[in-house]
Parts: sequence; structure tokens; C-alpha cells
Amino acid sequence: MAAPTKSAFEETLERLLKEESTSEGAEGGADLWKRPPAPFIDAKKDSVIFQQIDIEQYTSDADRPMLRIFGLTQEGHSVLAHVSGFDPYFYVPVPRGFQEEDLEPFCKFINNHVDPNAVIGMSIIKKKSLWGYKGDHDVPFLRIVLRAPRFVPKVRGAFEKAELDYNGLFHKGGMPTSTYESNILYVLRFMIDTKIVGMNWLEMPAGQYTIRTSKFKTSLCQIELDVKWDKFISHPAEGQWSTMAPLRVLSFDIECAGRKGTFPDAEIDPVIQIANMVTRQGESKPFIRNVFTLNTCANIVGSQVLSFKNESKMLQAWSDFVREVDPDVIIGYNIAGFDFPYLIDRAHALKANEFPYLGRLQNHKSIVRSTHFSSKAYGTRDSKETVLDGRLQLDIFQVMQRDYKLRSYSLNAVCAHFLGEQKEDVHHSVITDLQNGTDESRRRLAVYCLKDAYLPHRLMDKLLCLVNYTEMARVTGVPFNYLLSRGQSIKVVSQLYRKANMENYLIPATKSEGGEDQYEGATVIDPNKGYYKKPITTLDFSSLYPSIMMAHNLCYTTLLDRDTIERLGLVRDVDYIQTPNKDFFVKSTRRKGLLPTVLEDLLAARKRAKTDLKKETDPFKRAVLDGRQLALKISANSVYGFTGATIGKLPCLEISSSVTAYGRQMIERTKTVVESHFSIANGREWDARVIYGDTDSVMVEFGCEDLETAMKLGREAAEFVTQTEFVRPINLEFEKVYFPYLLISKKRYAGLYWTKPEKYDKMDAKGIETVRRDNCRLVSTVIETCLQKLLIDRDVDGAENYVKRVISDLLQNKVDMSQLVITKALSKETYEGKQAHDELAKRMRKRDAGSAPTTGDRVPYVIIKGVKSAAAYEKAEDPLYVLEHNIPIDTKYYLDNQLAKPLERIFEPIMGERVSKLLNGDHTRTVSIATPTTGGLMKFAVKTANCLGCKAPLKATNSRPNGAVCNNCRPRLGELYQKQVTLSSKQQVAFARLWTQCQRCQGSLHLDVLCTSKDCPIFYMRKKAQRDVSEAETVMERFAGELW
Amino acid sequence: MSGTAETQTLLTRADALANTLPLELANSFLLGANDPNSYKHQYANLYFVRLAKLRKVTIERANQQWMSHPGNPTFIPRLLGVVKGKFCWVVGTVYKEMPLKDNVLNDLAKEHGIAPPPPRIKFHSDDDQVFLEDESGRIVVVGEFLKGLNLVTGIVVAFLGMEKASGDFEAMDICYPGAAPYANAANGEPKSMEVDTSDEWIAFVSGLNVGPPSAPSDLRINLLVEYLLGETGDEGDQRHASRISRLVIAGDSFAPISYDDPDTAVDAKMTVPGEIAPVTTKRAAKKYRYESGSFSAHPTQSLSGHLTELSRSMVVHLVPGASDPSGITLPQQPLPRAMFGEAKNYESFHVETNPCWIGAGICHILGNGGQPLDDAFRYIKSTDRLGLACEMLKWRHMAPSAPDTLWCYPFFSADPFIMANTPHIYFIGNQPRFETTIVEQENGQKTRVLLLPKFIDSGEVILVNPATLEVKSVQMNSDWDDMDGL
Repeated sequence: MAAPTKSAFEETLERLLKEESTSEGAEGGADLWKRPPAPFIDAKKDSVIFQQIDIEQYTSDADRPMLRIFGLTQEGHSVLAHVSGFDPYFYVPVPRGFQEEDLEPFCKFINNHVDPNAVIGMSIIKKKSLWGYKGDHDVPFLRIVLRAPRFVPKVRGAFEKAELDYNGLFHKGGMPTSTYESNILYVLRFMIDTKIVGMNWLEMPAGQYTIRTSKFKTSLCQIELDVKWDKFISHPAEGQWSTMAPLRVLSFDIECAGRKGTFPDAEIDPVIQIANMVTRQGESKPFIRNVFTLNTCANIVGSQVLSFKNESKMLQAWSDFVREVDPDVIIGYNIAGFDFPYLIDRAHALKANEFPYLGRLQNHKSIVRSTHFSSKAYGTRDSKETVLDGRLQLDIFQVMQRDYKLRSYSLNAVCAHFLGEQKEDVHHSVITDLQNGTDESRRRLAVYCLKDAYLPHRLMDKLLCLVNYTEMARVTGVPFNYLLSRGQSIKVVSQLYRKANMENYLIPATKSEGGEDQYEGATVIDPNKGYYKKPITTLDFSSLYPSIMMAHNLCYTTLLDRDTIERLGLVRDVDYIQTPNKDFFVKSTRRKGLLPTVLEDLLAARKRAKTDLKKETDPFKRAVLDGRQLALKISANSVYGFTGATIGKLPCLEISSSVTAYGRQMIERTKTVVESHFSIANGREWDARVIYGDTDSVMVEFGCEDLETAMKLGREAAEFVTQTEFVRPINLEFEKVYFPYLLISKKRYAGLYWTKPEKYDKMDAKGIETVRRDNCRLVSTVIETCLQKLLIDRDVDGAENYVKRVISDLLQNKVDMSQLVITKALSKETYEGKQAHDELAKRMRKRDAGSAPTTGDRVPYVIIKGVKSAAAYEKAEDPLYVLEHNIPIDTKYYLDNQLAKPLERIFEPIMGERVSKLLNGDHTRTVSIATPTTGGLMKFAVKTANCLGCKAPLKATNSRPNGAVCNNCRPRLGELYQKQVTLSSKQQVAFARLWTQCQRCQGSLHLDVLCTSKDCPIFYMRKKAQRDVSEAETVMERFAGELW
Repeated sequence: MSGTAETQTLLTRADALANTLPLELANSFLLGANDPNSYKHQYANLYFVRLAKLRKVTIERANQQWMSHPGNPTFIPRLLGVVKGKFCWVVGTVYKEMPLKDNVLNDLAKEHGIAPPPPRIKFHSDDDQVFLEDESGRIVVVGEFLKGLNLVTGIVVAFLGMEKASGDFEAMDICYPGAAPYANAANGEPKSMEVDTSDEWIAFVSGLNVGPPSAPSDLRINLLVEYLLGETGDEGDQRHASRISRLVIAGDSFAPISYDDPDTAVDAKMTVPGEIAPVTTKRAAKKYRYESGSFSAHPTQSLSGHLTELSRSMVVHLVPGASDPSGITLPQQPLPRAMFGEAKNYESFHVETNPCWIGAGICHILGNGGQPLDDAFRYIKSTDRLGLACEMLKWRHMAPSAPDTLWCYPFFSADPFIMANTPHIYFIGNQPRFETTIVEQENGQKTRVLLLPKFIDSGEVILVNPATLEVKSVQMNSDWDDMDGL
């Protein structure tokens, strides 16, 4: 953890400034907004080379399809290339009896039927369908060229609806005619045909393009040119073309002044600050740092402050700023869902009509659209999208949600997780107060705002988002923007088309059916539960599914049916094979499958990338290569999923079911072979035992006690099985040894992970509660600590004792509140049925509308002891309210509903029946319940002090007034005093340490700490410390009146 | 003992001088006197008040110091008003960012407990960074000039210099608030100066560390008591002892509470999530309730006995210290008077706060149990404790590192640690060895600075003449080695 960076953010700002080599520049890079001026280009002599970042289609004035390619040159000049002449097309099979002479009449026939301008040409081409092996002959297809992309679905629809009965040729028996390659996006079609992949370099050779003079320019790009679709060069992203142009990356954040109790509404609540950081790709520090503020704001060292009296003017100035800086990529945290829509709505409300022109096209308004994203891999999500022509957007919030499984996705939580820093968090009700204060308080706000603009950039750098996404775009060939806005399958489609076109295949346009057909998934060898103290060797099939597809030549193009077998007289196991799923595929000797070729290329490319990675020393190039090998691996694995996606573009369950069937068979075979080969009967020292097998791995207990032997035997077994049992390239590898190993159940296990005998690599836990968001933090803390004790310390007793202590502390109310907090997002205005967090939010609104959570907030709550019959939703309470009023926690709930199951799971393999002792032994006898200061009977209760020795209530008859003890306990006064002093000191230290830390974190001694970051581990702790210390002091005072 | 009845009648105990300490000083560290006793507040108020109070005097002094500076610097009242490349001076609170400083977040991340790590001797490192801060914000202060200075978080100073292109403020000179004037005597003009009271002495001792019964240390304290009461030594000793009218016990009268039962040693990983463990408290691994076994009444009884004897014949001030049972934050509140048996009945027995002001005639004494110096010392490069103590007079502040690293009460409207008045005697208890000097101000004001050794280690008692500020050190263990053999 980088401890020193924890302090003030301003400090960082200043460091940035210090490191800036152009030391005499203006504050915050105020003089660096404009791009360097573009040189004069002679279209006859100079070629223009740029990295394209975005491609979009449009229609020319002459109603022809055009494409805009936005990009950036190595020198940092922005480019827009207008591409013309690329016409959309698709195929249908040529029916028997259709002649060359029919082409023109059929053209007219279609145009008469669909639209007079739809078809502009037609030709007959010999190709093969991708689907199924029907023999080696090419068959004729009709290539239908259309005037514009919008005609594609119309004409296709006519074929599919059997409306084009030209001379009785097409729809025999009224059947629809299937089309080929008619459902691919125009832009992707263009990219495939011109071999453009996402984010690659394009070269406009001299003499092949024309430059647009400023009079004819349609964009803000420095260089704008026209080129024919087949007159430029697309460089594959390899070697010198694997670099990145110096993209300008703008990271920004806005602050709004909301009203108490409501989420900011763009119709009413002003935008008060916009902070911006601009970085060049490849450089780590922003060269422009500024903040636009409504009303004055005191100077911030290292940043430019632009203050405005009028909000509309501020928005306008920011819009001008964006256009002048001309960023290629815009990033931020939840900018897609909040910042952009809010800015645009707000500008609309203020009638700042010049504002929403944030893209690169002149006079092209930026509009917010609602999008619905649904993917099997990523889940369903509704969000908003603001198209900024020619600029990429990378919302780090979306990246996090997509690529990482976290307990919380708040910027605080994400930063704590990846950057190891706590971020100061100011509640939105405080923001308005700061804004309405002085230029100093607005400065304070601006510093937060700048920090929030800088953090997405740091996250992006740390996680290499831009680099990895770029490599993914290049490997799979899809535009960068698709990676966040679309699912997995588009990437496979892109690769499949590219390969198929090279091999002369056509891809059928199947209609997705969305069938419920579920094929049998990967089964496992049933786990033999237990806590293994001997080393457990794990043998893995590397890239299992891809290698099965390659080994058995499984593909659309090799799929056989019985008819074809009979028709062509094919011989089983010579010409074709039958898979364990009873499907037929031809062998590669007859026809090499397309998918196996795609996979071979991907894996070969990955191998190359890994080899290069080993040689490369430059950290940035290493990052690129690592990103690439990762992208290649993910791509290879997604091919299998694509064939199994029943609502996908081209599902083929014969392939996916066969793959998993092979997988199951292989795992079982491995078990048999290993257990018979490594047996005493076969002259070995021990009998090996396969204790568990998952999708692509088997866990073997060879019987040895030491790691070296386990590893040696593992290597031997992997090689033996690979050599004797399986078809290349299927490869069983020895990867790691778990020692010790805790096997809980299917897909749930934990172990200490060793790849070399000297030192373990890590502690590995699968399927065990650590990040589930509906759990409180205590669960993961306890589970993690237990695993640590069991696996690293090998201390079963220690783990048991630890659990007992935690349970005991829980029952005695000694566990910190932050450990008990459960959070849930308040996602809707109204819920059907009563939900704990929603009910709580309503109650909190009644108490204080200002600080209550509103829609979109995450509501933290703890479960409190309620009346006996109280429903679960009534027992949720605000942790702060609980602290302030000393409300008792429902410790039983936490024990039974949160801790019990995960603990039982972990300890059951170890303790067996005894596990129940863990949850109700001696340690659960001492219970202490807080005395609430509010509600119910407390209204009638008279508070009496108790003797600090024997807890007897103190009365005038048995004690001194305001004393500490009863007369009987007076002899123990010294001892009790000492105990109280110790306790009191403990509370004082906690108070002092926690609150001074918050001061350091906020970077100011003279201002009160405002932070309410509920994700910070000390947030509740410091509140509790405040209360505890006051209480302890009150008790201390009672000793003053005592008789000693 | 050689004293005879005759000599004893001759050597009458000198009366303690009439107290001239202003009341606001006398009570300045009592919680509740200045501020409601409440932990509602944050520490920012303390810094705010401190800067507000010390800024004015700092500006006055800086004005004088730099008035005729050839660079003709201007005073910039707000730190963020500093203009690049312009020669100026500014006033603010020093904050030092130190990578080695404890960080509770790191401790929490490591083991889910916030027991502070074992104290280091020095937190100073080459990566330390100095900031100057006021209500408007903070600036980085750099420059070779800083290397020679002892800067501690929390002091208020003025810096002369210039903001560089990088935004850092390059300091060229510094100005402190400077020592405050003496307090005006509460009872009008002192006449006692002329009176022949110059042979009055005040005894200072610290670190008695009365703990479990132990022959050597009990014996040594007995010796001390006998010496102070004039019951030991030759006639000269007795004559001298009879001049001692006042005893200040400057902290750590009790030995630290120790839990050396091996069963209770805490396994760091056993700390329960979120538990706040104090420095000295350790918890039993398998016991689920409080154990009283470790308590011993002996130290209290033993100390009470001595205090009673002493209070019969002189004024005794008992100042709590770090190891005494009086909470851990500063200002430590007086130990309950009632716990000291007979002594509680003597008017001459005073339980004091730590720090505390003591008035001895016209002589005003300020001091503490040693924690402020110990803490500040960790954050500077210098190893000169006495020098640091003298700087505190210059800073006009006796505990600047509170609250940042020195745990203290969150005062709301006052900073009692400001030395609004300079004392005649400034004592600091429980230091590694006895050191002393006289600090003389420009106006001739003198302060006797005393670093008191730990009695348990050195066996020393320090005597100061309040009128002349003369100092003597008396060793209690002349025959120590022999006694050790008993």
C-alpha cells in the first residue's frame, strides 16, 4: 500500500505541477488547450497516416451511403476521412433454373416490389454455405447490391416472407428463401471487407485522396479528406503498427447543488462546478488541469480556476473548452449515466442552446438516448448514452461493473480496492452549503471535484483499461465503442465473418429463436469433501474447450447429417467421427473446420504475444502485449460460448453439446487412468485418488506428504495422460498443488496455492462468501481470517477459537458497526411489497429529509432487535441512528442469517458433527445488550446508575450521591478505578487516532471534517469512538465523589 | 540520623510563599472550566483558536523583524493570496507530512484492530514535507533554510520567501511568536522580592514509579522522603532540607500497569474485527470476562503514606503522568484526591492537572509530565531535548503536536496549551537525564528550564530557588550499591 499518497490531494496537484517540464507554463495548462497546428498537406505528394478510433455511417446529399472515419496522427493531429463508394450487399442461394439473363429482370422485379431504388446491381458468385458439410463443391449465390443500408432489411424481409416469387423460382411451395450475410451491420461489413480492425492504423496514399478546404469541412478535425473505399491501406495491428497515437484523454466530473432530500433535478438544480483533467495517452500526468466554477473560487495551486457569475455562461464556456481541447477519449465515473445527461438537460433548461455540440461534427447536436443492454455474460442493464461524434467514451463506472466483481461500485470503494486509498466523500446536502459559503468553501468543493476528475484517470492507468480495450478491439476486429455497448457475440461474429470470407464461406442469417433448449453443462466428479493436509495436485486441461474443438475438428462447416453421410458414402472414423453427444462431424482430412482455424490463429497469436512479452522490457509495450494475450485468450474461450448461445447470432448446439460431452468424458478418463496408473497394484508407493474434478481440472491426492513429490508426480501424470489418451492439441498440464486443501462442495473450495516448493503463491478460494454484497463485512472478514488460519497457519484450533471469540464479541456488542452494515441500492421510487432498505429510507426521510437516501443511493443498514413479531423489513435501521441512540443490534440475526451457513460450510469438512458447538458453545453464554435511549418503554424508564462492581442499582441508602460503587464494593474501589481508567484511555486513544486521521486525509487542520464516506473502514468507528469516550468520561467523573 | 532536638527546633520550616498566580492560569487545564466537557467537537477548532491567538503576535514580531529587510517584502494575510515570484511573508500553522507517521488506516487494513504499533524513537525521514496552512488552504514550504530548523506540526510561524514557478514556497527566514510576557501577579505588586526569602527552595522530582513491593525502590523512595523531611544526612543536609517549602512530583508516580501473565499475551491476529485495543490492555485469549487478578492496592497505599508524611511539612503538588491512572489524553485531569488516604485531609496537598501552573509566591511555575516533549521529539531530526524545550517558549506553545500525534481533548473555544504567559520555571518530567538552562528574553525575562530525570533511574531530586532560579541536584543513592546488596 502506498502509504504516503494517502494524504492531501492538493499535494498531488502540486507534485504534478512540479514535474511538468515546461515549468514556465500557465497554471493548470491554460495555454495548452489547442492541438499543435496541422502542417500543410499536399495530397499529391504526402500520404496521411492515422490511427482510426471511430467509424460511423451517414448518407450523402445524393442519398448514397458514406462513412466517416475519425482518427489521430502520430503527431497528434485529428483527422476525419469521408469514405464513399461502399455499397451494402447480401446473398441468396441461386435457385435451380435461374439464369444469367434473369439478373436484370429480377433486379427490376425486386425494385418494383420493394422500392424503386433499392437494388442497384446483382451478380452470381460461387461460394459455400458455412452451415454443414454438403460436399466440397462451391454452389452459386446471388450477390444483391443495394443503394443504401436501409434497404437491406426491406429486401431481406421480402425474401423471408416469400414475397419475391419471380417466375416461380424462389419460393417453392411458398417457402421463404433464406438469406446469407444480411444481418451484419453496415459499418462492420465495411471494416471486414477493407480489413480494418478496431483502433488500427490507416494510410491514405498520396494521390488517392483529396483534402477538404475549410469551406467544405463538416467537422472540427484539423485534417478532413475524401477517399474511395478501396483506395486506402489498412495496416494490421502488428509490429510498427501496434502502437498508439497520442490520444487526448479528457476526464471530468461535475457537481450539482441539490436541494435537501431530493436527488438533483436538472430542471431546477444548478451545475456548480466542472473539473477537468486532460492527458495524452502514454503519459501519466495530465497536462491540463482546471475547474469551472459558478461564483468565485479561491486559487488552487497547480490548477486553473475559471469562475463564472452566470451558470449558462459557465456551461457554454465548458462546451467551448471541450471543442478547443478536442479530446479523442472522454472518461469519468458514471458520466454516461449522470454527468452527460445532466449537463445536456441542464443546458436545455437554461436555454443555453449553444451548449450541446460536444462532438466533432459541426452543427451536430449531442443527444441523450436511453439504452438497454442485455447480455448473458454481463447481465441486463439500463443506461443512457450520449453520442459524441468522433470521440470515444470510456465510463470507468461501466468498466468496473463489467469487468470486476466488487462489493460496492462507489468511487470510494473502487479506489480503496484498486488504489489502496480512501477518498473523502462529502454528502450531497453539504455540497450546497459549501457552494453557498465563501470562495474558500467553494475552493474546498473544487478540490473534491478535481480529485473526482483525476481518479477515473488513475484507475484507467492502473487497470490499463484503454490499452486492454484497444487490444481487444484489434484482436476481434470490432470498433472500440462496441466493447462497452455490446456483448460478447459481436466479437465472435466479426472474427467468423473475416475468416469465412477468406475461405469462401457465406454465413447464413438465421433468425434467433430464443429457445429454451439447454444442453447439459460440464459435470464434475463429485467432491470428496474434507480438509486435506496432504498435498493435492491439480491437473488442468489448458484451453480445454478450444482444444477440443481443434482436436475433433468441430465446426459449422464440418457438421454432418445422416443424409449427407449416405449421399456421399462417407465412412465412420475414416471420413467422419461421432461425438459422445451422438453428433457427426467430418474429419480434418476431408475438410478443415473454420472454427478450429480461427482458434488456432488466436492461440498461435497468443503464444507469439507471450513470447514477445517475455522479451520486451519497455513497460508500456509490455502492457500492450499483456493486454493482447489476455484479449486473445478471452476471444478463444468465447467461441465455444457463441455456438451455445441460443439467443445468439448463430447457435449450433451440436457443437457446444459435443464440446462439453467430450470434456466430461476426458475428465472421467483422466480419473480412471491416473488412479490405475498411480496405484500400489501398478508398483507405486501409494494409491492415488481423484478427490474432485471440475470443468477442466482434476484434483489428485497422490498420497505423498511433501510438495516436491506431489509436483513431480503431477508432471509425470500430466505427460502420461496427454501422451496416451488424447488427440493433439488437447494437453493436460500440471499447474499447481493445493497444500493444504479444504474441499467444501461442488465449486466451493479453498487452498494454499503452490507452483514451486519454496514458497506458496497465494491463498486461493473459490465460491466462498467474500464479496457477496448482501452480506455484511463481518462475514468476509471472519471467513478470510479462518481460511488464513486453516490454510496458512494450519491452526485448526486457532481458527475455532477465533470464531468463538468473534461470536462472543458479537453477542457482547463489541463488533465494530462497519462490520455489520449491509447495503442495498435504492433503485426505484416505489417498490412493490415492503423492502427493508426502502422502508428505512422512508423512515429516514421523516427524521431528516436532508440527509436521507434518495433514489440511486445505496442505503446502508443494520438489523436491530425489534419487537417479537416485527417483520424483517421493520428491523433495518440506519447505522448512525443506531450508534447515536444505542439501539441493540439483533446479534442473533447476524449469527443465524449471516455467519452460520458460511461457517458451517467451512468447518463441516473439518469438524463434522461437532460443527454445531461452534455456534452454540460456552462462548455464547455472555450476552450484553445495549440500552436504547429512544423508543418504546424507554419513555417510562428512570435511569439509575449501577454499581461498577456488582451492578446493583445505586440508591441513597447503599451508596454516596453520584458515586461509583455500592457500599459493599467500596473496598474494591481502587481496582475498579484502575479498570475504568484503562477503558477510558482506550476510548480516548481511539477518538484521537481516528479523528486526526480524517483530518490528515482531508488535507486540512483548520476545517472540520465533512467526509461521510460510508465505505471507509473508520467512518462508523469514529462515530462510535465519539460516543464511547463521552460515556467513559461520565463514568470517570463518578469516582470524584467517592469515599476511598 | 544525626538530628538532635535542639537543631530541630532551630530549623523551622519556611512557609510556602503566598500564591500570586492569576486564577485563569491556575484553572486553565481543568476540563469544564474553559470548555464544556464534550467530545462532540472535532479538532479543527483547536487549530483554529491556536492560529487566531498566535497570529497577531507573530505578525507584530515578523513586522519588526523584516521591516527593514532589503527585499522590501509585503505581508500576505491569506496564504492562498501568495503571488508567484513575489517576495513576501506569510503566517500559518505548520503541518508536516511524514511517511513514517502512524496511520490508523494502515493498521486497520493489516489486522482489523487499531492498536498503535510500538512507538518508534524517531519518525523523522528525508521524505518529510513541510506545509504551512491557514483557514484558506495550505502551501508547500521548501528550501535549504528549513534544514536547520526544528519544525513540529501545530506550531504557528511566519515564513519569509517567495512562491516558485512550481507552486512551492521557498522559505528564507522564519519568525516565531516569541516568548510571552510574565503573568501579572494576582495580588498586586510583589513585595517578597525584597524580603529575605531568597533561601526558599522548591524540590522537583518525577518518575517515582511506585509499583509492586520491591525492596530497593521502596527504600530509595523512603530515603527521598526522609531527605525532604530533613531526617537524614548531616546538619548541612538538614539545614538545606528545611529550606524546601514545596515539592512538585512531575508525573509517573505510579509504575505502568503491567500484565505479565504469559497466558494473556495477545496474538495480534486474534484481534477481533474492528476492535479498538489500547496500548497497554491485553486480552485473554480464552476468557470471556474481565479478570481482576492483576490489581494490586500496594502502590496506592505506599504512595499515600509518603504523601501524607510530606504534606505534614510542605506543600505537595502531585502532577499525573503517562503511567498514572488518569486517562491518556492531555490535559490529564487530577488524580482523585480521595484515593490518597490521610493525605487528602491536608490543605498542603494538591492534586494537579498535567500540564499545570503552580504559583509559588511571585514565582510562576509551568510544567508537565513529559509527554509533549517526548512526542514532539519524535518528529524532529535533532536529538537535543533541552533545545527543543527552549524552543517551545519561543513557539509560545507547550504541546504543538497535540492533537495531531499527541492525544488530547478536543477543545472548542480555547487552546490551553498556548503559553499565554511565560513561567519563571518551566519543568518537564520523566526525561532520560537531568538537563537545565536559563533562557533569557530580549526584555530580560528569565526562565529556568528543567528537564527532570526519572527518579527510578537516577535517584535525583532537583532543587530550585524561586527567587534566584539557582538549581541544585541531590542524589539519593549515595550508598545505593550497598543497599542493592541487601
